[in-house]
Amino acid sequence: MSEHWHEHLPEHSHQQPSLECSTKHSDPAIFSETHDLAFMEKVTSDKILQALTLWVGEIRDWTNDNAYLVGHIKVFVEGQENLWLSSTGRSINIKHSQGWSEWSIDRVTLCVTAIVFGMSKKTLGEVAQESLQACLNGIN
Amino acid sequence: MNVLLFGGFLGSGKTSIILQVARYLVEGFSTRQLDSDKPSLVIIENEVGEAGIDDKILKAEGLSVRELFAGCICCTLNAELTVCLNEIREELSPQWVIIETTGMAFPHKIAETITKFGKGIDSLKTIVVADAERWDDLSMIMPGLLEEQIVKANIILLNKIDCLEPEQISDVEESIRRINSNALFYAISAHDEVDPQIWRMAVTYSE
Ligand SMILES: Nc1nc2c(ncn2[C@@H]2O[C@H](COP(=O)(O)OP(=O)(O)OP(=O)(O)O)[C@@H](O)[C@H]2O)c(=O)[nH]1
Ligand SMILES: [Mg+2]
Repeated sequence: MSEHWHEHLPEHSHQQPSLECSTKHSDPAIFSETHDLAFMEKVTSDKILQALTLWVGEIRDWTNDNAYLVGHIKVFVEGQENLWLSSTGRSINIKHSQGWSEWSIDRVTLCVTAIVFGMSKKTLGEVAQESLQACLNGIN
Repeated sequence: MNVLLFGGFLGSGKTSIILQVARYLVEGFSTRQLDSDKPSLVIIENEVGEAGIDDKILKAEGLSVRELFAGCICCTLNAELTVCLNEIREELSPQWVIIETTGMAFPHKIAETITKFGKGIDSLKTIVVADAERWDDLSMIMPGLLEEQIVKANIILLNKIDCLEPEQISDVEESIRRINSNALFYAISAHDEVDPQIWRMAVTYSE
C-alpha cells in the first residue's frame, strides 16, 4: 500500500475537506435530512417528482461547476407509494413504485442525502437547504 | 449463517445489486424457513447520512433490514456490527445475512472483525462493486481508496457497463485485475436483470 490510510487516531481530522484523496484521507461533506411534508391541497406525484428532480440536478450542477466531486445525491419519498431519485454526477436515475404516477398526495415523508467531496459541511448545508426550500416552494 | 459483505465506492450500485441478489436468495434458497415467520435473509445497512434511504428502499421491497449508524463513516464500525450480527443470529438465525457497508469503508477490515468475533458464521464472502461509469475519474481522484476496497475482495462486480463501450470495459477490467487478480470477476449492469448464474456463482463460491 503506497498511501497512508488513517487508522482512527486522535489527530484524525474531519475538518479539512480536500480533493487530494490520493495522498491523504478526506471525508466528504454530508447533507442528510428527513422532512414530513404536508400540503394544503393534494398535489400530483408528478409535481413532487419534478421538484425533487430539480433539486438533485441543482446540487449536481453546482457541485460539478465548482470542481467538487459528487459522492452520491439521493432522495426517497415514502408514503403510500415510493419514489427514489439518485445521481452520482451525471444522469439522474428515477425509480418508483407501481402506483406512483396515479398518486395524489397531501402528506409524505421526504429523505434527502447529498454527499459531496471538496467543500465544508456548512457550505453544502447552506446551498442544499436553500435549494431544497426553493424547489419545494414551487410545488404549492 | 452465510454472510455476504458488500463494499464499493459511493453510488457504485451496491443497493441496486443487493435488491437483485436478495430476490435471488429469497426465491431460491428459502426452503428451510418456509413455515416459520422468521426471514431467511436479513440485511444490515450502514449508510452515509442520518436520513437512511437505502434501508427504506430495501424495506419497500418487503425485505428484512437492520440499520447501523456509523459515527465516522470511514472507520469500520466493528463493535456495533459484531453485536448486531450476533443478535440476528440469536433472534432469527437466518440462512443469509447481507451487509451493505458505506461507500467509504474498507470491506476487508470489516471482514477481519467478523471472522474474529462473529459467532455461528458458516461462510463469509466479500463482494466489492466497482463503478464502470466513474472508474477513470475516481481512480484519478482517489486511487488509494479504490485499491484498498478492491484488493482483498473475493468477488468483484464491475457495475454500470451499460455506460461504456466494450473496449473501455476491457481496459477497466485490466486495471482492476492489476489490483486484485484472485477475485472472481463479473461485468454487469444492475439496471438490467442480471443472469442468475452470476448470483449463483457469487453466493456459492468458495476459495
Ligand atoms: N447506468 C447505470 N446506473 C446504475 C446501475 N446500477 C446502479 N445504477 C445507478 O447508480 C446510482 C447508485 O446506485 P445505488 O445502488 O444506490 O449505489 P450504492 O453503491 O448503494 O450507493 P451508496 O449506498 O450511496 O454508496 C443509482 O442512480 C442507480 O440507479 C447500472 O448498472 N447502470
Ligand atoms: Mg446503497
